[in-house]
Amino acid sequence: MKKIVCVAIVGKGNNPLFIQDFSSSITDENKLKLHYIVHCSLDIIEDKPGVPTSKKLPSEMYLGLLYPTEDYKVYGYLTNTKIKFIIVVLDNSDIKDSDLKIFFKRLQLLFINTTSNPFYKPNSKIESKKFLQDVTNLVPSL
Amino acid sequence: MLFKDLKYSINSWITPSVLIISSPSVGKIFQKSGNTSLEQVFAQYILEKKKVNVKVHDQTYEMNDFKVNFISPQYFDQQTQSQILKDTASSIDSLATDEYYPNFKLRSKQDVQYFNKICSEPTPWFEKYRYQFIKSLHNLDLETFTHPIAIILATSSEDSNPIGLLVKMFDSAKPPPIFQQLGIEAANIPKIYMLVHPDNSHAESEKRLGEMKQTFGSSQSYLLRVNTKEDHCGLGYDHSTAHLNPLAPIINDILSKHIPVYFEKAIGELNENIATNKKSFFSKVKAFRFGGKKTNESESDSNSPNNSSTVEQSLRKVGDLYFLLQDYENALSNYKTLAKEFNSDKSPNFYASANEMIGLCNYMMNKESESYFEIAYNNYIKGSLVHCAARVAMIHGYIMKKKSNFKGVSDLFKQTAEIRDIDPFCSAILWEQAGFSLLHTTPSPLFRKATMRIVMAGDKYSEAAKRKHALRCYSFSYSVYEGRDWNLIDDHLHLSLVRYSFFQGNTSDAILFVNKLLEKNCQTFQKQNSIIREFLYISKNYGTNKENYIGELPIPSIHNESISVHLNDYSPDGSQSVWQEMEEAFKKEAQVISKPLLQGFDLWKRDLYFETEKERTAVVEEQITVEVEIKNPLQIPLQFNRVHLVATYKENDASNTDGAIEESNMSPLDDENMKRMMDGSTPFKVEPLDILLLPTEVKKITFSIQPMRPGLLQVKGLGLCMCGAVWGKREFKLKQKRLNKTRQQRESVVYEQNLSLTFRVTSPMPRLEAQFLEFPDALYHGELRQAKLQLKNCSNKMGLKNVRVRLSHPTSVCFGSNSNDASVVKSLDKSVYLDVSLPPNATVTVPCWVRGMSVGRHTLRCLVYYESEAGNTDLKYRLARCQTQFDVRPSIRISSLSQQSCSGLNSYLLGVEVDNPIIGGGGDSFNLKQISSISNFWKIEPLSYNADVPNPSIVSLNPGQFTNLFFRIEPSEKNILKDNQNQKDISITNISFYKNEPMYDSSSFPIYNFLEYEKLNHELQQQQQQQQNQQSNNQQPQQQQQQPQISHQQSQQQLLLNNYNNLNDNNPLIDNHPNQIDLLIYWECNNNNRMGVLNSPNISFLPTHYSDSSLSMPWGSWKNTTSPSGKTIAYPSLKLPLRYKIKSQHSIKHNFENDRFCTVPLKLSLSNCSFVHPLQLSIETLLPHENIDQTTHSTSQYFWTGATKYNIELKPQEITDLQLHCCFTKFGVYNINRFKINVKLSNEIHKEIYSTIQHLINIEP
Repeated sequence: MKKIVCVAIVGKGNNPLFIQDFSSSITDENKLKLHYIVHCSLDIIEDKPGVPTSKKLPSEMYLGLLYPTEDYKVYGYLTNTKIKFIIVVLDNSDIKDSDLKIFFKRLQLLFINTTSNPFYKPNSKIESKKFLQDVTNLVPSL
Repeated sequence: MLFKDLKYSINSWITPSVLIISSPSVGKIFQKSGNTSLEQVFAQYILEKKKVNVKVHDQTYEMNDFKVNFISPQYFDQQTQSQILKDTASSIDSLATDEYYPNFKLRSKQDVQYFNKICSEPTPWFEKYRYQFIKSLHNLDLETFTHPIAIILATSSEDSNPIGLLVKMFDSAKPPPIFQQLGIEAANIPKIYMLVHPDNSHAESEKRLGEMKQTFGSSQSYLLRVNTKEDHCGLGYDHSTAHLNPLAPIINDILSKHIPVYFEKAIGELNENIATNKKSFFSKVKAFRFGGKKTNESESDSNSPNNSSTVEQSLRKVGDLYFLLQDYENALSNYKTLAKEFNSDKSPNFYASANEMIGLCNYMMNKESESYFEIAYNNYIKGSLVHCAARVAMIHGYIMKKKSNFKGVSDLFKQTAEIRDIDPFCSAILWEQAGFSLLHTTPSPLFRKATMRIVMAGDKYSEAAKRKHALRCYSFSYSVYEGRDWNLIDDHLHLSLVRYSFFQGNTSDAILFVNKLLEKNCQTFQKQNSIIREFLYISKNYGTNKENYIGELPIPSIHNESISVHLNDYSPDGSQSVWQEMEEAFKKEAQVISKPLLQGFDLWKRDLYFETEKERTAVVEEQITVEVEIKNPLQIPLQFNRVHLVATYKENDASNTDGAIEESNMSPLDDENMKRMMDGSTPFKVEPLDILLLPTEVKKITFSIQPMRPGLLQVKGLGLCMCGAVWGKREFKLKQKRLNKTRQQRESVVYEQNLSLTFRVTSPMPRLEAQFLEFPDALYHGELRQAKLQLKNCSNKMGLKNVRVRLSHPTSVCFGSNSNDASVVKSLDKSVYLDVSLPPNATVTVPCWVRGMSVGRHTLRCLVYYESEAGNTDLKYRLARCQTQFDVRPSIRISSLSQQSCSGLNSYLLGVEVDNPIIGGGGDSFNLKQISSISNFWKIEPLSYNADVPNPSIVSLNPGQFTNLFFRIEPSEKNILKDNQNQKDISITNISFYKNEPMYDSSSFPIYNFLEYEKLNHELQQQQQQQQNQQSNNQQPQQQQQQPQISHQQSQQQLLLNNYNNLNDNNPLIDNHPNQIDLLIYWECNNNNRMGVLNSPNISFLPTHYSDSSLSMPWGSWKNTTSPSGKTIAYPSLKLPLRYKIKSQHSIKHNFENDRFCTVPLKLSLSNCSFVHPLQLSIETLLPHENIDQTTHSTSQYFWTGATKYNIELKPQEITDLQLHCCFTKFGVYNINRFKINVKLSNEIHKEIYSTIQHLINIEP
């Protein structure tokens, strides 16, 4: 059983760049709920002490566990350019922080590779099929 | 508000009750008068604060605000929870609002603070709901607050045996089953017996009262006289008269006598009961260490069968009674003991309830209470008493909120709201509170989470069918997500907003959200299908006004740029500009444009003269067609029925512009309206169409509208019926020009009205239809054919007049059949006036000649102008279009050359080369029939043969063949005789190649007219060319400046060229020079007996002279004026009607030893070949050394002797001989060219001409 239920990338203006669920048996309603959860986690990210203010840069991009819901845990990762990576995992899965850090690093690398495409318009939705495939391949690694 | 205080809610929850049992007849009495009941009448009397003093165990409790509920026995039966919850929910309906705060949009974190400031209490209904919820939700198993503390028994004096009935109604030994069930001690409860005596009853009430007092005791028996005629039986509560009311003493008695006694008695008895049972209880506990309540219960039941209550029940009852008496200390101790009796695992509900009361007691005494509430909450959930849990959550939440623990409140409420079996409305209220609590969290509000909870609240509200609440929740949360690309969330919210906006009657909002919903088009087609279905369903069922017309629809999308309007009956084609040009020309001709011509300083004010765009004029009963591209943006097919144009109509009444009747058809075009339209009672008619649009299909559809009355018609958009269910419209949104002329306009954003869909409908006009008949499909170049233009007046009421025609190829068509009825124009940019007038329904055919002018495929467009016979101020004229296509194929080709004749000074050579250029199969052969020349002064005569064509084959041309014909041009004799008096007379020479056949008349219609047209066309082209040349000349100096390194030679050549052009331009003698001839060649073709005439107009045979002095070298004439390639070398040249010739001996024998000088006489003949202009000449010979460069210096020279200069004037056609003498000193061949002729062109301009003709004289020994 896959641990990750949802991977989301949220842009600078808190607009979703990429949001994809990775559960075999997911209903439309749950999908919607995942979206809401991802959206809510932005609240927490904004409140995190590590969030870069005007000058200070955070030393650590990994934000850790954002908040647990009854079914899921939400982890976040924030880049210096205020791109937020959010993953939602099943609550019963026990994941080490170090594993999560590696996962987020890889995800960021994929994101960088995709957005370096000259045809990609910055801060717009990622519609690259390759990116989706890469992320799908990456998800079981955690 | 009282509801805000939790203590108030708690007090109302624990209010004790008084049971009223009344006989049916009593019920009837009260039912009759004012539809009330005894309970309700009683309830009025305790609205005021009542004092009650209770004495228990030497302790006196003084309660200032004692309240009781008067209940009927049914109260215990009807206690279904869902009903209570429903009642509770509906109790706050009136408080629901559309928005938390008007027009507030939550976009970012900063907005939250502002929102908290402006709207400190977004949900005022919550407190009321909490109050109602706590007050009315009783769990009869767990608590004893509802147990009656007194019973009122009432019978009517109308009952046959009231006293017997009273006894029967309540028997303490055998109380109603509910008492047994709840463990209520019936014996101690005070009973009040009451006889209701209506004033119209004749029964002896006083006697009965006496009997009652005997039976029940005097202090417990009462008589109640009622007045059935008044409301509430005359017992209505009034503060001022309360002491006079018969009910007041009864109530006072109950409160001051019976209830305190009951309290005292009950508490005493219960305490006793507890004490007696305690011992056995503890022993039992020891015996059954792990025993639960059940064992105890059975024990105590068996121990004291006459005492129906268990210890737990007694403890609870005592606790509750103390709580009622506000003795929280005693209550607390009882509850604490009680809590110990229960076990969280075995009986969580009782455990929870006891803990809840402990918490409440602590809270009432302002002590720490939260931990007890937590225990209570968890155990209620364990025991699945969700609504008790909700109550605890509300109480606990209140306490936490007071302590500003918003996060705790939010989580508690959220947790509660998520419980599975909870009432949806309660859940919604809790979700909403959970959301708003989060907005208060510090340091920063979790507004996203908050809005998510509010969305959840919306979902729950919709589940509870509270639409107003739901809409409010959704629209508040929407602002957070709006425009941020959260597609799934957006879809969810949009869909909900559409639904509830519709339910609330905000159709425009709903449409807006439908638009947004479908805008992104990112749903699957199944989903879109369901959206559309739902949209149709909702809008059909909840459509606001009449007959489900919902106004602007979201689909289909209209390409507003593609809207095009066609007024008359012709359809547009690609060459709109050609038509427009012709239409503009007519406009000018009809002087419709009144644009002032501005010059100089007026140009500054040209904005003031700017013509405002006018609406177009349409004619009554004539269709206006509008072409629109519509698109189905969705992935599902859509069907639209009766799609038609919607328009507004305003009556054309200048006197009252405001009050003018305005009509529109923005209502469903159902059968009724269709009928009305067909009857003609509407000011315009539209034509409905049914359209099916496949997914993402674009269709171009032509709609039509027919105005029926004069006025102002404005087409607004499309009206349609979506999927046969919903009527609505789609408005056209035309692009508007931004106005930017005045300061005011620049400062504000003002748009010009787009009038392309506005029409001024005028009174009827005749309508003309034009059509070419018998128009040839294909013509040979030059071929003449007859055709017809048919004009038909389609109106059956009005005639038309003043018909004018304008053509795209004016040189190709001549109207008329012969010279008598011909309609000819003098200038090509004028329109042809046809002298016809058409009465109603008349048809006229105008004959015309067509001639193939230039090879190629042509579309002949014909615009017919006409005016109404009746006249129309709005529409002076109308235009009709017709067009036809024809090919012009090449026939024969003519090239001509003209030269001065050597033999005669006043005759010229004309060479005509005619060829049939089609090589290969398929070409026709042409026979030359006749050649004609038209000129003012000249005629031609054949040179190649004398009188007759020697061999006809030279004039019949098969494909690829050519023939040369030569003619001499001579002055026409009759004109010489007439001596230029009548220049208009022309001389026509016709030479037929077939003697026996009749000749064509070149001066007749239409041949001559076509020639004239062709010449006009030539002039037009020349003018255009000149203009172009001038423009390029103006550009040249700049170019030269830009390129200073241009080579010397090039620049010189350029200079020469310029001179050449200038000479041609400025020479007055050139203009309208008569040394021209027009040549017409008639041909016939064996194929279908076709004939045609080819014109070669304006063949000029004026001598060319050169004015470069370098030409006068001794051998200068060898510098050819024409290069072998045929290009003219650019010498400054001049065309002049001057001819000269030297006459002398060509060979002279001379002995230079005898005479060192050989003098030869020469004769210079000068001729003015013009018929019009005289010539001023001065002839001068050149000196030997004049104009000689290095190379020719060594050549032999000659010089002139005798008279070397003459000044003469030559009259038209005059020939003069001048005597000159040439002197040679050596043998040799000499070219006699060393003279120059100075021509005076005007007073200032003189030109020198040098000879280019070789005249050689050979001097031999």
